[in-house]
This record gives sequence, C-alpha cells and structure tokens, in this order.
Amino acid sequence: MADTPERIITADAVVRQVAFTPDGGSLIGVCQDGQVRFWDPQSGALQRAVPWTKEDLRGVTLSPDLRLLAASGPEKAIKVWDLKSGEMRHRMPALPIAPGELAISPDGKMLASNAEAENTVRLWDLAAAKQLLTLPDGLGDSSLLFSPDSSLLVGANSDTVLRVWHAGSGKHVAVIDDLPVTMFAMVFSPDGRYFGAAGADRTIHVFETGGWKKVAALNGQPEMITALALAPQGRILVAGGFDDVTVKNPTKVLIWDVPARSIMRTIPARQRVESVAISPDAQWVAVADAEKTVQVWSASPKA
Amino acid sequence: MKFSGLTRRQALESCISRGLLLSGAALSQTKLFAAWQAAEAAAQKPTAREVLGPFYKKGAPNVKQLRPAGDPGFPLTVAGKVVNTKGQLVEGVKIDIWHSDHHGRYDLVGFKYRSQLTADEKGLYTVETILPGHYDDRPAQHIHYLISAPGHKTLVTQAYFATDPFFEGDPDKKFAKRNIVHNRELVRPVSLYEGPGAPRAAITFDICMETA
Ligand SMILES: [Fe+2]
Repeated sequence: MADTPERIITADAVVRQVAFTPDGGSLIGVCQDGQVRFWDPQSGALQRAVPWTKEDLRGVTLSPDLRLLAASGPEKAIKVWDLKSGEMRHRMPALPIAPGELAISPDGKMLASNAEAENTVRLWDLAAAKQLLTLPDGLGDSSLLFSPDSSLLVGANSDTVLRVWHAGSGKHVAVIDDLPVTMFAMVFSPDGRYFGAAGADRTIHVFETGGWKKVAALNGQPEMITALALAPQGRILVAGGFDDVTVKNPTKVLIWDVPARSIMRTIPARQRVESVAISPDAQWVAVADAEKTVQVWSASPKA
Repeated sequence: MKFSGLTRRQALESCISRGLLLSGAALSQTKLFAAWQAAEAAAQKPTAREVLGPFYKKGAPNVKQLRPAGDPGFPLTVAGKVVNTKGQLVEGVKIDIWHSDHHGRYDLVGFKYRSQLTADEKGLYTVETILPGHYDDRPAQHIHYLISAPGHKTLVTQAYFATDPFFEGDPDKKFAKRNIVHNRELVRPVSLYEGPGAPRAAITFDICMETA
C-alpha cells in the first residue's frame, strides 16, 4: 500500500518533462517521440496528444506558464511551439552547434540556450527570434534556469561552478565556485528569495538569493539528483535522480517538507527519473521514469 | 612540396608566428626553407576535444599512484608528454585526470582515481591506476582529462582504449559507434605485458595544447 502509486500512466515514449496545469486538470508530458500528451491526473486517461516535431530531440523545455515549448535538434535551430495548438511560433537562427540545454523566462520574453563545445550561453529575445547577449560560460554542459521574476539567469556547469547573471545586462550577479561537484537540477522558491541546486553529491544545496550564501543542505537522497520540483506554495520539494552505474537500477524519489527540512515521504522509482512535478494543490506528485511511464503518487504518506 | 605553395612572406609569417624567427630580416631562400622545415616538424596538431562529462570534481590531490594495494581493477600505466602547437614544453601545466572504478562508478565523495598531475622538466607525466569500467551513458572505457596552463587554451578531452570490447577488435571501423567517441586518435593502442605477479596494461596519451 505504502509503496504503490495511485496511478501508472503508460506514455508510449520517454517523458522528458512532466508538469501539472495550474488548474490541476491536466498532467502534461513532453515526450521524446515529439508528442505532448495531456492526461487526466485523476483517471490517468489520455485527454489529447499534440504532435509538434519529428526531430530527434536534444534540449527541450516548457515555459513556466506552460504555454510554450522550446526544443533543439539536429537542425541546430531552436524552435518554439504553442503548446495548445502544436503550431510553431518562433524559430531562432541556426547555430554552429546544436544547443543542449534550454530555458524560457517566466515572463515568456526570453530564451536561454547553451552548447557545451562553445562555452557560451546565448540569451534570445523570443518574439523577435533575435539573440540579445552572448554570455561567457564555464566548461562543460550546463543546466539553465530563470528566476521567477525573469531578472536572473543561472547556469550550472559541469566544471562545478554556478553562474548567476543579470538577464538584462549579462553582468555577473554571483559566481558560486565552492560546490564540490556538478549540479544537474535547480529550482527557485516562488518568491525568488531562495534557490536550490542538486546533483552528483546527492545533496540539495539551498541558497538565499540576497547575497547568494548557502543556508541549508538537504541530505538523504541515495542517488544523484537530476530532477527537482517545488510546490507552488514552496513548502514541498520533490527530488529524483539516477543510479550512476546503470540507469536501470531502481531509485528513490524524496518528498521534502521544506520548512521542517525533513523527508515527508520516500517513494520508489523503477529506474532513472527523468522529471518530477507537484500538483498546484500539493496533493499529488508525478514521476516520469526512463521506462516510459508517469506515476502519480500521493504527496503525503497514507494513514 | 608544400613549401613551394607558400609565398616567401607566408613562409616568413609562419616561422615568426611559431617563434622561430624574430623578424623577416634578410635570409637566404635556403635558410628560410630550413627554418620553415624545422618549424613544420616541431608544429603539432592540438589534441582533439571531448566532453567534460558530469563527474568532474575540483581539488584532486597531485598523486601518481592511484591504484591502492589489492585493487581488483586491471593495473594500468598512463604516460605522455605535454607540448603546445609550437612544439614547446608547456610551463605550469596542470593535468586533471579522473575515471571510474572497474565497475564504472565514479568516486564523488573522495578522490579515488582522481589526480591533478604536473609534468616534469621534460614535459612528461605518468600515473599508475586501473582500467576504468563501463557505464550506461558512456559504454566505452575512458579516462577524463582537463588540462590547463598559463597562456594556453584549457583542453578537455578523454582517452579511450583500443582493447575495449566496445570497439569489437576494430577501433578503426568501430570508433564512431553510437556517437560515443568523436575522434579516432583518442582511442589509444594498449600494451599488455606481464608485470610483477599480474598482467598489466599501458597506454601513452600525449597532449598538445593550443596557445591562447
Ligand atoms: Fe566518464
């Protein structure tokens, strides 16, 4: 009982990113087969599937408001689709190297991309499909994330450094270079006052964004962390990851009570976790795994 | 002959840019040709780049012996020379190397199989370790390198092993399989020999850095 999900949704393709719609009425899955699937989180029934690309996907990201979807593929151009209609809205000019990681700002105005071999992050004006800034980045692949007010962009590189830029000017706000290893996943609190990063050391490092000082370290994840999600109220944090020897090994998803800094629930995943999401009412947690399923769990342990 | 395709000015520039001539002062064609030939022989192709990978860790100690007594891995010696594209020794070079254990697992808590090496006065480095294992995301055995030196571009690369079953005995044909390895030259021949008490392996991995 404790270790069974409420529902298992079979997605027919690996789900790269999951998200609950703000009204909680749909669970969105961005699938590696180039379809976005919408499921009813209560019944698990497929509501609709929107085909949007046939390309072999590299970077893919949903905008925080879930209206847009950006992806990069072998064509080396970032394309942006309307999530509802599946129509392509914007297409950035082609780049020398296919971008890896992507992020869309919460205000829907900017897109950030990076390419490992270039050691740069590019900042784009989404509507104009024009590059605004080229930011010198560190070594290796990096994850990108905008702050909730869209004023900051954070890049986490595999040189183990976190770089925080002012998105308007491209100037460094902070460079955090005392992390021991690479951070793979990042999250901001809804008010932007706190920032969390987690990765190869299985720890969630929490910073306050006034001075970018570390204020907490949440330990307890058995595997490396690649997916983080924070409930809209910021009280519940979900973390999932992968076993570093084989993605086929089972993993654990941890649900944290953030104010108490304690683990509320540990749920099993069958293998590598691709993405996690929390419903707007913080009742449900969705876990997308590498076995092409999305599992919906209750966030709090059953009595 | 390549030289004949160059103008005198190009040849001079080529020599000057490689630090062989201070200026294009009056030189006979023969002397210029000799200088150009010497420069050409000394000039090196920069080592191919590879991805950094997710498991780099800062602050590794400078340790030449990475193989603890009783390690179940296959003993391996890695050695090489560090030069730049001008054929010069590289001052102050730091060679970060790291690899997995024989099961394919990286140490992210401590610094097992991680070292920041330096090169000696002849530009040589060497490390005693084990053959890395295989893991899902990169199923070819490999050693990661991050090499930095003042006045040079930081080089991120990886060394692979021609004996790796991944290459099916034919690295020439199979090196690009599954888009894992991007350069044939990074797949190094492996010498296998009888060491004290056990068979051992050795590779050379020479490094050529670009000046910044
Ligand atoms: Fe690796």
